[in-house]
Amino acid sequence: MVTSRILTRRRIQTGRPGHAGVRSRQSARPALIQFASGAAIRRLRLRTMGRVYLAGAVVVLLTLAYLVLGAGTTGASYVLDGLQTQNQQLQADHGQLVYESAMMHTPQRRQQEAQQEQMVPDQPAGYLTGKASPINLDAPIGGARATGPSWWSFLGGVVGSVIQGAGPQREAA
Amino acid sequence: MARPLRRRPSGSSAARAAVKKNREPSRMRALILLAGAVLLASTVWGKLVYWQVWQHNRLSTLANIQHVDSITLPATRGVIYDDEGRPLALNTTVYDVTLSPQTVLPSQRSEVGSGLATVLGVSADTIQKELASGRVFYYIAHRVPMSQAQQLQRMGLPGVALQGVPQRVYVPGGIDGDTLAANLLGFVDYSGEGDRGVEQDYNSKLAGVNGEATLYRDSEGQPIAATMQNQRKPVNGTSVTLTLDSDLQYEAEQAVEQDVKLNHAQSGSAIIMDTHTGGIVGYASYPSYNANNFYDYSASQTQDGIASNLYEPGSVMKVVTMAGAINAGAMSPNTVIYDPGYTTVQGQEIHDWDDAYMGNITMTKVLEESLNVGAIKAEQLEGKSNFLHYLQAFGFGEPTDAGVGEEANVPLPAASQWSPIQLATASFGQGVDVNMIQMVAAINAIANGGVYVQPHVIDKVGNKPFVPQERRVVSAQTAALINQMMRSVVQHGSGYMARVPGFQLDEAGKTGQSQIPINGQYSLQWYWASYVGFMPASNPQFTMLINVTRPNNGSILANDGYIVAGPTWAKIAEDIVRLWHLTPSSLPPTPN
Repeated sequence: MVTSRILTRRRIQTGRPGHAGVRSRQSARPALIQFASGAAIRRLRLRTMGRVYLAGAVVVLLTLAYLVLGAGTTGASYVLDGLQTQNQQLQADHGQLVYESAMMHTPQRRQQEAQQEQMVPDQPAGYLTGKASPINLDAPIGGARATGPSWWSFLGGVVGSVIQGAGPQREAA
Repeated sequence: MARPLRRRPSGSSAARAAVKKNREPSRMRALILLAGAVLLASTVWGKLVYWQVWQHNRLSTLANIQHVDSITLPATRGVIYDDEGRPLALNTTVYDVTLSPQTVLPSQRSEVGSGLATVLGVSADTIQKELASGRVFYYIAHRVPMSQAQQLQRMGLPGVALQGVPQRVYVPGGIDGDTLAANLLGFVDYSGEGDRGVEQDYNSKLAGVNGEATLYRDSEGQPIAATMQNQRKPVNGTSVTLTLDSDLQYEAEQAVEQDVKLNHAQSGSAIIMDTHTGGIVGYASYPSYNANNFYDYSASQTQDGIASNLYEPGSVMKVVTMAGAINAGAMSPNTVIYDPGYTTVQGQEIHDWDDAYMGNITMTKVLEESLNVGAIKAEQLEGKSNFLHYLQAFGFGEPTDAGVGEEANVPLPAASQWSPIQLATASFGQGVDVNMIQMVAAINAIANGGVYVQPHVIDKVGNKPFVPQERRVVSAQTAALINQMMRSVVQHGSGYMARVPGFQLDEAGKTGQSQIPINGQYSLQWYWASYVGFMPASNPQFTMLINVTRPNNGSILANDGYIVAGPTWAKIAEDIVRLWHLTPSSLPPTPN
């Protein structure tokens, strides 16, 4: 609530010497600039369109930032692509090394190296010697054949059946 | 304070009319200009609306085709290892070489042409023609090895590009020019699919799952990695470890090759099993092929002769017949039969291999001498139902699922379909079709104390071990008796040519020979010659079967299994003794 006393104080205050100082600062402002800014404000309608301009500026800045970021991303993407290619190449090299390593330890390679070093078996393996064996390894295949009269063979052919226990029993080896 | 209004110049009404008259044309011109501008603007805007709105879908699709690319992220195929972790099938990168003639200047053509001709060995004239054609894209060479690709890279030829392609490679084998265990491993075709053997059987595990993603490409077709989206990562294939022993495989391949050549045979195969685990440690065939150049071979040349071919095992089957008869209590090794050299079944005479009169002989002698009459007697003593039961129990008529690819199998006929003559011939291995894996697994059951163990070539898939199925087929006592009878075959009978130095008293074996049916009739000229055995007999470590198709040594006797296959069995067995450091378990008995 503004009282008459407060109004009186304000009037008194305007009459003080300090008030003249304020006036002198206002008058020190160049008139041309004052005029131009006023004109610009009026022409650009800053008071009414200020927020629109601000929004536009933000949009422009964001667009620029997006473009800068996009360019950076594209650049990084090419670097990434290069690294991926390099990785594939390294993997291919690794596969090749594994293959070459495997080739160095194949039975074929070992045999070739042994032959180059003249490491070949000089004598074929032999049978056990000097030990008596109840089995005659030099006997003809199947040993002695059972022989019998021809009528016995004929009878066997006619009967053609199992003769359990007939004939001399032979021990299985 | 109100600003004073500027006074307009005063004039007469005629003057005002004149001014008005002068202003009308200029207003008209302005209106026409305005209308023109609006028309032009409308045209532009209309066109923009046409392209941006009306044609949006079509154009964006076209743009996507041009810039958005769906790429495959290839999975790495699993490696195949042998039992000691040595790679048998692995992956390398080869390169497709492409040329873009459009981008090569006329002044650069000779340099590009001579460079490509020098490194790749292609005709320089052909390249010059392609360069002059101005084509956009041209394949110069496919699947160039890395060494050549690196040479091209160093040259930096304009318009030449290299594209890496995965390639399956296999190690060299015992047969000159072929790869190790080619018939077992199979190969991977250009589409990345496993074909034949383990590569086919375990393709789903080995191949993995390719990934995919979409990304943008720039105007030069280069991928923009940061634009990658909808990415599905690849799942690499699982490595597979086999039970195969590379060193043994190498020796076995050489031995089988020598065998086939020595006996002027059509083909030969050897399969070796670890007696107790059932793991296949050797799997050799001749002829074989080079899996690195699979495209040079026909389908029949890459077919596995061990699993995919059926054969009639011949006298090797007598072991199964006798095992069944003994286990059924129908006979013993000492059971004596009368063998005049032939017998008659259903009115048909069946002869022993030599037609010789044998008189009264034991069943052990029957096995030693491989006598058909004795095998028929054993089957007759055993009875039809027991005989068929044991055929099935030993694994005949059912695929073994050994993991070797395409396995041929003929189911056993129903019991009612077996005639006496069929039973008689089956007792000595004629008229019954088996594959070599089935046969060696059946004999291995004897070596393994009567327990059939599933033959298998896969030891581990990734870290998961393969667990073979086991079942008892005959008693341990029966197995021991048959073991003894098979030792006798080596010591006294037809297996003498398969004796292994130092082990001749501790090895078990059986010869086999069977006629090959041609056009529905058994050939009198062509045979399968085989030999099966295990060693050391008192504590078997391996069971091996050799089978040679169509040996051609001039006479039937010279084509028998004991001559054709026995020595090769002994040769490979000697290699196993050396590689596995085996010693005879039972020394010769001390003489009294």
